[in-house]
Amino acid sequence: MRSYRTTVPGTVLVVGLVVAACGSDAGNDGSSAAGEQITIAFESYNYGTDGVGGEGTQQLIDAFEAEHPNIRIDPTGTPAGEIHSSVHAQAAAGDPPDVAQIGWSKFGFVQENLPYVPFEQVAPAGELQAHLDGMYPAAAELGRHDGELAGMAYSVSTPTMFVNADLFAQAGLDAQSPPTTWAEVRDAARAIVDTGAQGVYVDAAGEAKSDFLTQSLINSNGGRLLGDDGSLQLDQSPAVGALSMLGDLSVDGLQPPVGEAEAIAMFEAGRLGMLVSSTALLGGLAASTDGVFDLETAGLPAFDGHDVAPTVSGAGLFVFSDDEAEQQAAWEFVQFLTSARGFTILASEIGYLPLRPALIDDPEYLGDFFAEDDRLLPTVEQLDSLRPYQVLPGESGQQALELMQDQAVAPIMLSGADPEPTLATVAEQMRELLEP
Amino acid sequence: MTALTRARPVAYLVPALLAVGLTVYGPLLAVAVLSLFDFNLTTRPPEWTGLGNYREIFATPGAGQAFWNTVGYMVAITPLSVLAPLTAAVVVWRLGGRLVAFYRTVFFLPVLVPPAVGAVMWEWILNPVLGITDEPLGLLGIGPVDWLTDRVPAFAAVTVVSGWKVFGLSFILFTAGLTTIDADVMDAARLDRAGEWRLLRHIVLPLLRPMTTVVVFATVVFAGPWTFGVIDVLTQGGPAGGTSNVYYLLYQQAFSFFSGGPAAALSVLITVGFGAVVALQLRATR
Amino acid sequence: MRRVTRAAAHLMLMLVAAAVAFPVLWAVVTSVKPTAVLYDANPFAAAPTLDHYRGALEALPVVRVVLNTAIMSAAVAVGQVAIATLAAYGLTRYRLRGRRVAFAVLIGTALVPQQALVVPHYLMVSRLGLLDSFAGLVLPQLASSALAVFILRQQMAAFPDELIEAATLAGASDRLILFRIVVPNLRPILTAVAIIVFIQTWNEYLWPLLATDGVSRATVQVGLRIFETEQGTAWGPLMAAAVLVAAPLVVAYAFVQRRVTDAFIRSGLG
Repeated sequence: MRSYRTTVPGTVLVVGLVVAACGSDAGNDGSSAAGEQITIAFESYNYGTDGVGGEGTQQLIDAFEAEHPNIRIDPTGTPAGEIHSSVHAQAAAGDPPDVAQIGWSKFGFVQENLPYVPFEQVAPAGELQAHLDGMYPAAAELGRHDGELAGMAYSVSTPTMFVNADLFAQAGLDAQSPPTTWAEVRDAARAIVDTGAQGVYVDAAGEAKSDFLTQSLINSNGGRLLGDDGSLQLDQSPAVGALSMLGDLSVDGLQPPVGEAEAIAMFEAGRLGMLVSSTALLGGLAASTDGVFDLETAGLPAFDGHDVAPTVSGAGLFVFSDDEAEQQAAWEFVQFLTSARGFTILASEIGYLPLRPALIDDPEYLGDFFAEDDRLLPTVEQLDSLRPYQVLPGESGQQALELMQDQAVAPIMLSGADPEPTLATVAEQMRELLEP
Repeated sequence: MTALTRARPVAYLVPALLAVGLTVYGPLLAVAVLSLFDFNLTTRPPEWTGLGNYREIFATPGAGQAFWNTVGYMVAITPLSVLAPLTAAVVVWRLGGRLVAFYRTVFFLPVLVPPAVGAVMWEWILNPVLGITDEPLGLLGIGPVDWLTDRVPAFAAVTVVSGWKVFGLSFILFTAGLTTIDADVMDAARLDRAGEWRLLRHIVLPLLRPMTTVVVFATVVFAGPWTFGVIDVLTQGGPAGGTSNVYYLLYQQAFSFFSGGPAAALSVLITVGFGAVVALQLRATR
Repeated sequence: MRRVTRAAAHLMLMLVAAAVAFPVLWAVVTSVKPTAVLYDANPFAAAPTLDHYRGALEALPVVRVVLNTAIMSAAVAVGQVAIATLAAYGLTRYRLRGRRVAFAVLIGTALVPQQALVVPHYLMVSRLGLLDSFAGLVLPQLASSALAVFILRQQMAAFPDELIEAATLAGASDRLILFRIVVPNLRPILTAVAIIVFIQTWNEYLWPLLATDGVSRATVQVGLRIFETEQGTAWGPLMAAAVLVAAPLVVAYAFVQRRVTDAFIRSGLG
């Protein structure tokens, strides 16, 4: 071992280019022959959190360990907003976790900066395809990059409309047949506003993850964020139309001009009729609105003349092990988490989407659960029309994405900015950032 | 204190210089070197780009606004971070009596509240629909304000919430500074029948000057980091960059410097820029 | 001071106190509100409940994280005050060549954005094998002592010369003067500086998040995040937990601030 004295100045030096150049050299603790006990480090943003997310994740880990007595899971909880940076720091120090749960909104960052191991290298030949069979194709393909599967779809959610059935009843509406188009949403919101409450809030203007809703709206209005050639289409008519709808809601007094957190607070307080957001909120809202009002759900409303085409938010699982035995164990773990049993726990305990359609009616898996609580069903039904989440490419992709959310979506939705010129300006700025 | 020329003073400075060298300037040097490269420390070797990262930072949309907001916060927060706590500390000190401990504890409360929680409490107070500010503002003849989605109110909100936390910090510094004022000086002045104002102007404020310099310095240097946490919870820099500052820009750029060269470049620019401001300030107040 | 002036001053201070304390009191009120009336502006909308406290205690090992944070913050506070006291003494007592530069170097650390240093610190601490240890938590935070150095230098520069001269004439060594004369006389300032450093360290988030791994060394700010989940924020338990972790601090501060107060009661000004 080096002494402390030489380590310190040495460290200062290596912090610079030396570390950068030499890459990972820290040894993995404990080598592993077959049959021996092996430990997998798992970094997750659900693990350890209060409520259903933490409990569900613990249950998944316990079930896996019971099935695989030779593999121990060493979990760490890191908030969703910091987990990619945390993994990055560990990777730079040469010791990334074996498996990490990283949000799709950070997928661009993962592609550029994290030393993930594609599943083609992690899984034994043939096993990968067999595992992906039976998943919704759009979900299975979410994590594909450069022809390889970088991430496995795991904790995935999709847009849904939460409905305050009490406010609906007060306004003379029926929460059992909620609005299915934006025109109907406007009518319902008008009726609710007339009773003195707030109408509807579309959670598209948040900074970090709400861009999946922006994409879902553009898709559902017949467009895409990125064309087949990768060109940005934010200033074309489907996007302009989708965002104009958002802006009109606020201008006409049907949508309160507030931020995401305040809108959720309003909905929980029972003062907002409809909240269009991610299904991930279901577990939390179900708990916090219990005893306040009757909570119902509906699918993402459609634009007239178009089918809904939502995309997803949530996270995938990425493998970083460089040792073959650890890769094998990591693969076992990922396989379990995204197996029929895994998705059963994810859906029934936490409220993430069951990405295997066969589970939904199967009494051995989710059949009984959905018979009892159908609030996840409207969105499960729209999974057939799921579109892959589009990642803005390149080093500045994340910056372009935040530019879109901060300078276009939020001003149009909340501050009355004129959609067409705003989108034209911001699209131009984004193109400059996205240029290779 | 008189300065000596004999003896060897260096020993007193060694621990401090060692600490800053190893944990601040060493890493900063590495960051400065890295700011000339395109790098990520993980998947690819660094690539020389010269000043490319700096050009990129200057071309970032919103960089200019973030810079001016940084200056704006420094100025806007001064009444809450310097003047109000100075006044409060002096008044409490002159009043004395049994309520002193009460004031000292209450004024310090915001500092003790976890930052994430403090900003969240304000978020609720400022929520236009829950409408807690409507009635007090109505009494002043001001209509409901959309605190966090209008540019000017949002800027004001970030300033007030940051100031709310800083107030207690400055208050305790001024209070501590007052304790070093010699009782004899005050007694002598009182024997001269000096009035309260003259006492304040000619004795208390001059004696508080060392501490005032510290508090002004702290305001200039820490206004950025203080507002950062509040921006993060309340506005995320919005509406349309209206409340962003250079620290928030840095956070957005990369969160941690090695997500990219531009963030490293911005780190260097912030350090050098503030260094220039502080150098001027110290020169002016010497 | 005249009676009317005193009353007016108290009134003003009370108003300030009310404004300052309002968000804090509201957090406390929120922590005992049943979920169903959480957003009701009326604090007495329903009978108070301790449910959130039960939930918070179940989810978060409160004693553990408070102890962890207290150990970390105390170590950083003591370390910074010690380093800064020595440095400030060295800077003011000696007409040293380059002392202006040394001073600038020490307070210049405040100019470096923390976000830029977190990752180098992570790499250093990880190379030293100190991840997830108290040493690893504390070491990188020892140098951010610009404010402490600045305050103490300012106060030492204003220190009455007569005391030191008298001691020098009596043959006291420099070290003796520092520990027997300067430090005891600056105790209120040292206490204030220590309190501020302690609190700032207590409130640190990013570094403890990266440097620790799981609850064994988790600090308060990291621990509170477990209530902000992807399924929404559990406001009730979050507020309860915030009250639980802040309460020991408030009580401790209420006691410690007496040291500052006592100092000038002794000096006859109270």
